[in-house]
Amino acid sequence: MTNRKPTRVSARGRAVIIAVWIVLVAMLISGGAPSIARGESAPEYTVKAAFLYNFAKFVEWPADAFAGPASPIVLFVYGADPFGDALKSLKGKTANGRPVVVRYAANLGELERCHLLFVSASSMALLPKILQATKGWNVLTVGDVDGFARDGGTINLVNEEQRVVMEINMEAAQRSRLKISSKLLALAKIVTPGRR
Amino acid sequence: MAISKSRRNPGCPGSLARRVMAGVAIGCLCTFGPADVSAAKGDPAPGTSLDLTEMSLESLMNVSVISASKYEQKATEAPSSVSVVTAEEIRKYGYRTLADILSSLRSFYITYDRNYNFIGVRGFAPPGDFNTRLLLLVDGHRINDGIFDTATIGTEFILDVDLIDRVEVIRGPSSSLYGSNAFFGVINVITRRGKDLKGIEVSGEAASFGTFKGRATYGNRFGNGLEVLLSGTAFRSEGQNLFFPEFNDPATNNGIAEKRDGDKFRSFFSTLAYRDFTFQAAYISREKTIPTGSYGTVFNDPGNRTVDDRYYVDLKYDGSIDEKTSIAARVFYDWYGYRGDYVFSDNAVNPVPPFRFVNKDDTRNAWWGAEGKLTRRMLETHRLTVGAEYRDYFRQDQKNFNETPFESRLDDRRSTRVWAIYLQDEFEIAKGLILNAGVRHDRYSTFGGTTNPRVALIYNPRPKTTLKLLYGKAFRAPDVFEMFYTDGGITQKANPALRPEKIETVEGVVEQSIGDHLRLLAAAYSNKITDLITQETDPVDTLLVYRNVGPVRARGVETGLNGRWGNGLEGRASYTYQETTDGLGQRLVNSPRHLAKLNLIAPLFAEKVFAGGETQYVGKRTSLQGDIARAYYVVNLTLYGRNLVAGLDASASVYNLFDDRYGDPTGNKNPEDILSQDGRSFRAKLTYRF
Repeated sequence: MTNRKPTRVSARGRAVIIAVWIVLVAMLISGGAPSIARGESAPEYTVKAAFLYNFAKFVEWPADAFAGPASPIVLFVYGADPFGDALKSLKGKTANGRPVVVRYAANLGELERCHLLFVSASSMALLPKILQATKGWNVLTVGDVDGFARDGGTINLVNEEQRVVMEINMEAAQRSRLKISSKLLALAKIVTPGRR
Repeated sequence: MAISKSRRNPGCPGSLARRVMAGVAIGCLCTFGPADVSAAKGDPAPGTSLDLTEMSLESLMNVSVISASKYEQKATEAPSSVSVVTAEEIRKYGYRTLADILSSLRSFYITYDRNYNFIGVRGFAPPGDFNTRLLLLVDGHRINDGIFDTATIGTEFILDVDLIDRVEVIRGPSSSLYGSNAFFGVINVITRRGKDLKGIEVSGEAASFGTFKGRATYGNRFGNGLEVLLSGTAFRSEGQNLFFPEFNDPATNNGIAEKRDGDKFRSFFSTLAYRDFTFQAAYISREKTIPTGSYGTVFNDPGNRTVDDRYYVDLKYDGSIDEKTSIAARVFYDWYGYRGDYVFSDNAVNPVPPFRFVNKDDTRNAWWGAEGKLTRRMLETHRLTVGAEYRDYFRQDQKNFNETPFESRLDDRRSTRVWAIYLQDEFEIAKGLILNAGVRHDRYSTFGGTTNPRVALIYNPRPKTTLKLLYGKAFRAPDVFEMFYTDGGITQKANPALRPEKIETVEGVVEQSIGDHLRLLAAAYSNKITDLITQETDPVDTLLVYRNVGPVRARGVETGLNGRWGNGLEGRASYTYQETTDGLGQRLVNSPRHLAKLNLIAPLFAEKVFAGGETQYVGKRTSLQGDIARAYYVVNLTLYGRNLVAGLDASASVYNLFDDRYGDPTGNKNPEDILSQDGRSFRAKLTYRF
């Protein structure tokens, strides 16, 4: 009859719980003291927007991909926009001296020559058509759906254990004549198109 | 009664432990990092001072992402104080139900009557209320049913907690966006998505009181963009043999309810998403035996039980016309069924000793509805939302009858409809100053229309400081149970003249980030409730009846501190002081003055093993009979290991470690004025992914 047991907690039980808490607090103080920058948490697409900005910085486009030395790096978001206000953080930013401009396309007709193209998950079925339409554009295609890089996209942002990791398809990058910095390559997983 | 008083034991765990906890709290104050509560796309709260674009790629790869789903936008737009609980926290704290999750949050407390769990929020948990003053959403789909208006949070909640990606709790009135039930706040449960799983996950758990749960889930996102999640859960708990002093008599088995606390459910959940469309189907059937002799039923009779069935299908579209305009729309069909078996003894009904007869409730509720919402950014500084909603409760049948000999006591069939339109504008008046204003009109086929506005100012004088000032009105329509239920004079009678209850709120919130990782919040609120719908006992015929009473005043101050560190260390602490009084200045029943919570997760080994501990203090409460349910203090601990061997997670939990035998003041329906709650119990759980 569990309910008839007395309310009291044994001294040993109390000692155990107190010890556990002391350990926890000690860890809190020792572990917490140095302010470690890693391990922040943020909304998924705020993180992915920051990745896009880093791509603008760490990818080198051929000079003829721009009209002039100060022409902007144009980022297109294709399909349903998952970013919301997250891309606002790119407003006013420059990468290698070039301003970053964000534009949107809901269909192929609206898509214009650009440097970065984020293909939203909603438009994955259209990927072959999008790749066809952008052939020869010097465009870095970015997606976040399983198999995006293997299916011909350039960089895939994959969620793994609540972190974002990069998959890069080198063939696609070379086809678009893009030079991806070794710093970025060192952090990414290289995938081969077509292979599962 | 006796329970509470005998518990006032001077040797009880309190004093020393409390001192330790105070020490812990101070420790936290000094060291915590920030938990990002303002975590959603489009969140205007610039409390997130961190500019991720300035981070190095390496750091960026260490940022843990909070996955964004479309509906949270509406939720976090709320210019009020918000709490978020993530899937990781659910695992690391060993939460078993939504009730467990809510109970850990600032200004919340949970009451259990061994049949259903009831939410107390901001000093408000009147017995006889079925969680009608909080709106519960699953991925934006309304869970509150069309009979009892209940936000289900116990084992009868439609979603296995393992399938929760996160829970967002928005305090304050939100009827200006959501209509009825969004009275004290909105609980928005966001589910995990297929791409979070990428395969099969099976989970099994065993816990005290003969409790077992098993779950199998499959999830994936395919190359063509189709995303799938399918999951099924079975749960069974034998429950305890419980002793009730009120029945301590040889005629009633010496007060022992033997194997009368059983609980079982089966549930199914699925989501299919393709392009801008998402289809969801969910089902649960839960059966609970009632050990308490509620409503004057025969104590320790195996026949006392309730069965709650709930399912829904929901199709939604979420897309955009252009970069400035987005559209969301949904259609849904819902079912809720409730059957209650209550065993009585009366020789006038059944002349054969022991005069046993079964009185049955049979409630069937079906409805469909549709809603649409258009959001457009205008002139760079405005974000305008217009929306409309329609719900048709075409079946609201309540039956009550005696089984043998058959006698119908109630056969009430109704159908009601409600439509609503709303408008909200988020206006960036100046840099760092946002005005959020909205209004919604609801029209009910029963009582007519109601209009509820909300205005809020959100001001960021400095990047790390946010001030919010909120004024709002909200309402709750009387539900058909409150208006029309009667069992023909056994326990309860109807009151078709009920009016909607209303609340008017003023609230101020200050949020301050301290250092890089610490976030402090303080909120003060004042609520005035009029025409409160309350269950009372009519002194003339001693029958239960719902009536509009009031006014009720509720005032309170909440403080909270959240933190999160890169090495996996995180936690939150809160303290709430609340004064909730009726028109005569009397403190409400089941309304504690003090609430304190402390939650901590500490990494023990290499981002693989974590200890999660929480403590909850609930101050003393008055019961319906005017007795005192003493203050209590619960400690729960969980050890959680992630990916111990490839794909295997394991956890071990102990709940109420101090074995504090506190009691909850329960409703009119129970003979126990203060009902004793579970003591120490354990759970072990394994989850495997492949």
